[in-house]
Amino acid sequence: MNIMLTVSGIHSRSRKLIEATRRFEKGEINYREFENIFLNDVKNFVRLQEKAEMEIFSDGMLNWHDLLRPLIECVDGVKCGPYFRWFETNTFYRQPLIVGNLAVKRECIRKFFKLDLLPEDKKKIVILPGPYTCTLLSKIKLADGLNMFSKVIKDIIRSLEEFGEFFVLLQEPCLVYKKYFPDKRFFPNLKDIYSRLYSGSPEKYVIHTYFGSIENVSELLSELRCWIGVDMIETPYHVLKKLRKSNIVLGVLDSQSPITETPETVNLYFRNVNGIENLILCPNTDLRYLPRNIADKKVLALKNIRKAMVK
Amino acid sequence: MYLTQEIGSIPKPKWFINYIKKSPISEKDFQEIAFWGEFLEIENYRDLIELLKQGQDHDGIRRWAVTFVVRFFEKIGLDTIYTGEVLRKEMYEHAIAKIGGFKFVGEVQSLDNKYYNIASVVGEVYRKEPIYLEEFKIAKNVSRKKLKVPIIGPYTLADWSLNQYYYRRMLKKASSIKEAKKRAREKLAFSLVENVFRKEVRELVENGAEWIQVDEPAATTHPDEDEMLLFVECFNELTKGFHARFSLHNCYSDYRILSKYAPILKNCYQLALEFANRDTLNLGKDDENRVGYRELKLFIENGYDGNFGVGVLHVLDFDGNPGYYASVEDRSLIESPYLIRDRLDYASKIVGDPSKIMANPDCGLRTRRDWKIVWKKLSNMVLAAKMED
Repeated sequence: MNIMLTVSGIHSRSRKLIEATRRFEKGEINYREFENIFLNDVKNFVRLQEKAEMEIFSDGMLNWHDLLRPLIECVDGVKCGPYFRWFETNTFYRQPLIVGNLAVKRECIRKFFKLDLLPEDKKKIVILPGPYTCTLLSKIKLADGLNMFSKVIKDIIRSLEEFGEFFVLLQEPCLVYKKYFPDKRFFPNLKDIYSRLYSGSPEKYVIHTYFGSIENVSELLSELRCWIGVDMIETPYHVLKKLRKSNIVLGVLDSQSPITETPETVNLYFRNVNGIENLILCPNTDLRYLPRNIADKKVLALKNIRKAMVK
Repeated sequence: MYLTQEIGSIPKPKWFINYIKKSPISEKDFQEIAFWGEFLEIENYRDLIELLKQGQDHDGIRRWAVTFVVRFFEKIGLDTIYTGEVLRKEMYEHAIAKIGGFKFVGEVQSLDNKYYNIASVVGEVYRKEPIYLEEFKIAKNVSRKKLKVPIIGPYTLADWSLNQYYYRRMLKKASSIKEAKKRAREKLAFSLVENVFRKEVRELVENGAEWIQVDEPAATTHPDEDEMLLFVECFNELTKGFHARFSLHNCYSDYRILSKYAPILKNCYQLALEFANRDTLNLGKDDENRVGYRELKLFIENGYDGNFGVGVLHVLDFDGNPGYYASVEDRSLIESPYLIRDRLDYASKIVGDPSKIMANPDCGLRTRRDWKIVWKKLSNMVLAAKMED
């Protein structure tokens, strides 16, 4: 089994960056000064991933206030809506309000994606909200939303192609979170939407689920040709076993627990799941729910978990 | 006509921030004191300037900070007031600092560029010292109006903390990580009720507190029935047996969930909720224009028959188009009295009794940068509430 390591969402901001955001808001530093501190934080996050011996590098999304924010700031036709709680966390997101035809503002995209700061010799990952989650959290009609947001996502991905090849991880918590479970009758539509998104290159795409067990959607996920991401804090072993996939991403770090995982505390039963050829280990979701020092320790813990698995 | 109330925090005066941070008090700070001192007709406010110059009478300066806020609210004309939480660093951190068994571990984001200093539970929790008593005693001494003491709720405190200690203990007994987390949260929440908050409430009531507002922003974070019942039980246990009025403040929450459980909150005089954030800025008393307030109906349909604190002021940054019935100043929305009044009348129509409605901001106005903005927002609210029909 080939095992790789990566992260799966927004990383925690450092104290310096937090302080800089405050000072920038108060007008105590200008944008250039703020940006220097931000870029430095991205570089530190890159070094952390090197130390953790990761194969797939992320820029950490350290200037994303929430997962949907680039859709609001970088897409014409989307307005900023009210604040809502982000699932069962103490963080909030702004609801995207659709007010016109959607068109990606390419010049804005660079602000949110810092792929140029990642090592050239490493694989890269771009993390975006998936179309199902975008649609439900924007509170628009499912069929309309899926099509609209798929196009936007595809456009964002296209606008990043100048940075070379990269994995695309689409966060889809709504697929597995009880309140938003998709109706089984809608599975063919979802399959069609995802298939069109990854089209010729399913090996580069991950549909990543978290905040719930894959139990209710395992039938859908099994049929997708791309990688599937599973939250191992929420998904029991017997459910994982049923998911027949050769390429799988497992969120083995609990992004809401301060306790750093070790090979002893992470149940390594998943190595006994048949049929997995390629495995990516990562946190179950964003590590921004934890202070930076704890989040960093968790990222580093992945190295030992992999070692134990290989052993 | 409607009654009005403060809901929680307002920005601390700059001079007080500089004093706390041990930064030099500037001439500008003294001018600010003089401006508000004159405007609010605060007797002997120049004594504060002398105290700050000497920088020795810590308790005296804290009393002055409370006095300025209390007079600010009184002058605006609010019916029920408090201290604007001026002596608290931040709602969560203030309480945690006075409770044993916690250790601060760093800052995490809550929304946009707002963060809070999160703590981890490292041992059994206990009340190290009074959390709100000093503030209440000063306010009681200074105020000429009715007071309502906001306190953070035990459920929220448990939910916002990293529950290392109880989690490790529960992990040994539970069948899954999920179950261990749940049982650990229960254990922490009940320990906070018994070992910390009931003691605090008892002392507040013994010292004359008549109305305590329990802030539980985390109430619907975990919408499963077990979790909601845990939240309800925490509230009911906390308030049980005290001869005082209790209310619940909950914001940025799922009211479809809360409305189902509101009727089983015992001893809950009022629900103070956030609606302005969800509403339009158009005038009108109909469902379409008052879209943000429609969920009030759910509380009535589910049988809640208490009072409501209705959030009529947006408290966060605003970067949209304010339309004709609001304006924007320094990224703050200033709602016109007409807009606020329509919101109140719509709420009153749903509840069926205007005397059950109080007007308040969605949440604390600490998010605004200066008192002049807060003044404008709250003054418009008072104006709207007192308008003749």
